[in-house]
Amino acid sequence: MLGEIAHIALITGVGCTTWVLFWALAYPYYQTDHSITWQRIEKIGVGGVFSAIVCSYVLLTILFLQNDFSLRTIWEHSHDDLPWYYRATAVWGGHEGSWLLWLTILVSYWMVQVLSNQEAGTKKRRYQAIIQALVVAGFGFFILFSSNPFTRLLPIPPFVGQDLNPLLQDPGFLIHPPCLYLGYVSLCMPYSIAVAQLLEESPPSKQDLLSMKKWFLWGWMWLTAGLLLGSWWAYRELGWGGFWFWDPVENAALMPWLIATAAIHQSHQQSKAYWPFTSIFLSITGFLSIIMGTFLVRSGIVVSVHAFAIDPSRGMVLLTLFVLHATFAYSLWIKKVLQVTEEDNQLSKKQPYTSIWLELQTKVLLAMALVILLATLYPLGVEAWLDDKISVGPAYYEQTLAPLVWLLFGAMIMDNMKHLQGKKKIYTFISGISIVLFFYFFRLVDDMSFSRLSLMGWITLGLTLCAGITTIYTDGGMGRFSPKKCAHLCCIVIIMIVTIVKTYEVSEIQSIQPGQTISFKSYSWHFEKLTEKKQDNYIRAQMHLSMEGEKNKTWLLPEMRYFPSQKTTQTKASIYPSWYADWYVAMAKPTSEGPFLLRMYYKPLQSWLWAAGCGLFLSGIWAWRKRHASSKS
Amino acid sequence: MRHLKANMSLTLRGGIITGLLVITMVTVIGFLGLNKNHKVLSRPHAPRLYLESLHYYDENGYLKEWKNKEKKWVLIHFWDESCSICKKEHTVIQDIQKDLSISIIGMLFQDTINSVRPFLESFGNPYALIGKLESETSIEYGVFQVPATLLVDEHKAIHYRVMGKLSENDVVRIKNIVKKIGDI
Repeated sequence: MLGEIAHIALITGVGCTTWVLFWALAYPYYQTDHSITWQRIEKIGVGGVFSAIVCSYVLLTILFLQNDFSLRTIWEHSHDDLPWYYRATAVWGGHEGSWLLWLTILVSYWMVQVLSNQEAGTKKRRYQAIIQALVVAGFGFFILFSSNPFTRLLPIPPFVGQDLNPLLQDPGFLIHPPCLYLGYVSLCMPYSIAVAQLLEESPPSKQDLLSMKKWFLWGWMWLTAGLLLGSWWAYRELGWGGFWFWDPVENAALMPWLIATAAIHQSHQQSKAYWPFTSIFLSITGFLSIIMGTFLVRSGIVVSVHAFAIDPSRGMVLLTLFVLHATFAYSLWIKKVLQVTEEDNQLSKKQPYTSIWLELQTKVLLAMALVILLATLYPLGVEAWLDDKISVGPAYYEQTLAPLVWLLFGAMIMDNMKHLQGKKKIYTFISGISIVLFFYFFRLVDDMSFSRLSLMGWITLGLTLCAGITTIYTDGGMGRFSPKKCAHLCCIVIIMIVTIVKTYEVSEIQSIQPGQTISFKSYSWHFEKLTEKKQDNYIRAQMHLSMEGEKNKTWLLPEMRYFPSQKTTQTKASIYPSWYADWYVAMAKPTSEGPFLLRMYYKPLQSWLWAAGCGLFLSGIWAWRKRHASSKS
Repeated sequence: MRHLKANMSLTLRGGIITGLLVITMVTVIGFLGLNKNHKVLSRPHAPRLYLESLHYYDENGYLKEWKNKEKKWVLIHFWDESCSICKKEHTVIQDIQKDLSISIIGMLFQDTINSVRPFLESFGNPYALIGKLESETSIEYGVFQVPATLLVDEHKAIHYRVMGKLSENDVVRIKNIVKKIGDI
């Protein structure tokens, strides 16, 4: 019964969206006397959409908690034995439920946008509503017709569910998808604002630019959190010891992040023009990149750990949405670009502050997104045309992205140099050069561990160090901090650590018997005992492994989990983090007798990567709060 | 590009052209990709750390299971004749086989055993066993594309895993691991 109510709520929500769309189009023809203002219609309509869809989402969560296995998605993704918190979050464990979460976030953002929009300009508001309603209706009809979460399994509902994928039963999973969706969906909002400006044919007001900036910052913040949680999850769950695999789906999330970063950089560029074409372009591209990302994830066109919904018909719908939005928004943009000449667009001959280096950074970030896109699509294209199979490995990404990263940091150094005066400039320059030379010198000495650093590695390290030093001097000198400075420093630390981890990590496979002692990286590892225990929905075999150095002794507890409902075994790695390195152990047992196998990793400075990532997210929050406060006053 | 205004900035011109190209590319590739047959894999699996057995189809299409009973090092190479990189890699695989004299198992991803037989007859067959991979198995070991290579030790642990082309460095590492020279 609840399922039917939720279904009706979903239909009502999509219906309301169509109603808003209809009125937004028909308003000037039927309301010539303006007895009801457009704001009022919009508030009622969007309020209806919002409450209906949130209601349907909440009901779906309740159904998951109640274990109603007659609903197809619950049967596919839940189980009686699953703890309640995994049941509540299993909603976004499958394609249908996660799509409903997406829609819920989208309409919530729409509600916020409608309520906070101070603009009285009815026409622009109406155009925004048209675009937003088109986006919501597109996704809404998609969910209703091709991936309905309320499909019943009739006439005989099954008694037990198929259980949530063991890989997803992890605290990281509780928060990773919502964070990513909060970020993804946020990029829909600048799109509707930008296209409304193009439709209205009047240059964007300060208010518009500010709200676009805000949505981009909000999206960037959550995408950062989502990517960070995702790689943290992959690091702990996938048992291969890596944190980034250049999986097509990871790329699909990285591209919007790069575009959002570019948009934030661009928004700091005080525009010298009436029409900020680049900002509008970035808004459109950001939105298209998220549709394309969803298309890649949900059509089954790529095989990946994330590709959870394999159905070409769904892919077709998403591809159609992509083409429609792309041609519509893009042709409007091109029309405007061709219409407005460069001279008309100049505010004045005296150009206000713009930075060529900031401009370069925006372009480089876009180029990085393009390079990743090419590598993601290239294998698909080759397979489609030439019937040949190729794969693009990490080597491609490292070799193509590294020079772009150097360019990015070069531009950053040059931009930072403007903040330095006189002697400081020279000092910084000299210290930077000496650091690079220092690295280069030690690269030549064979005994030193620096010799393991590749040419690419030392250029990256040297440049990031220089960029770090110059960044410290910006924004009012050494002691002062600003969100911008924190974010840049965190980015620098992340790139440095990635280089260091890639160069200095050690991995080994060793076999071990109970009671045996082995050595790895000057520590001795002793296998004390193996315990078995039944947990909620799995049986756990835990290895008690002691790691003993000269001074300290710690325990590592790698696990193997057997899930009876799916008859699968999953390895759970154990990680001992210290301030200078992570010790990472995953265990396996191939046969009932014989030794256990240990896959051991030594990952230098790994925990600093997560710290820097958190710093990046926190500086996003800081910037957002600061901007929010400044726009209110 | 005469129809574009002459005084338009280079950036905007670049933006228009790149944007159009990218949109066309995504659309065309996406459309063609959708029309291809895809393996239906309902659920993702974590890649396993050890390889006990492999499920494959033999030349008559029967599902069979291979087990590492001899407790020796085995190299498992996933390939297809329709994949040009795999064909180039054939000599590398033969070289490894000659140098290490370990058994190499060839697993076909999409081709059938009968269709690759002429190729193996004319270029030499380094494989101790050749079979067509069963699709669930490929996901269990994290093999999503060809070529891919797994080095399995006597305890059935996956010691080395290469996704994509075997680089020279990979070959050296594989040889060193098997000869127990130690890791570089």
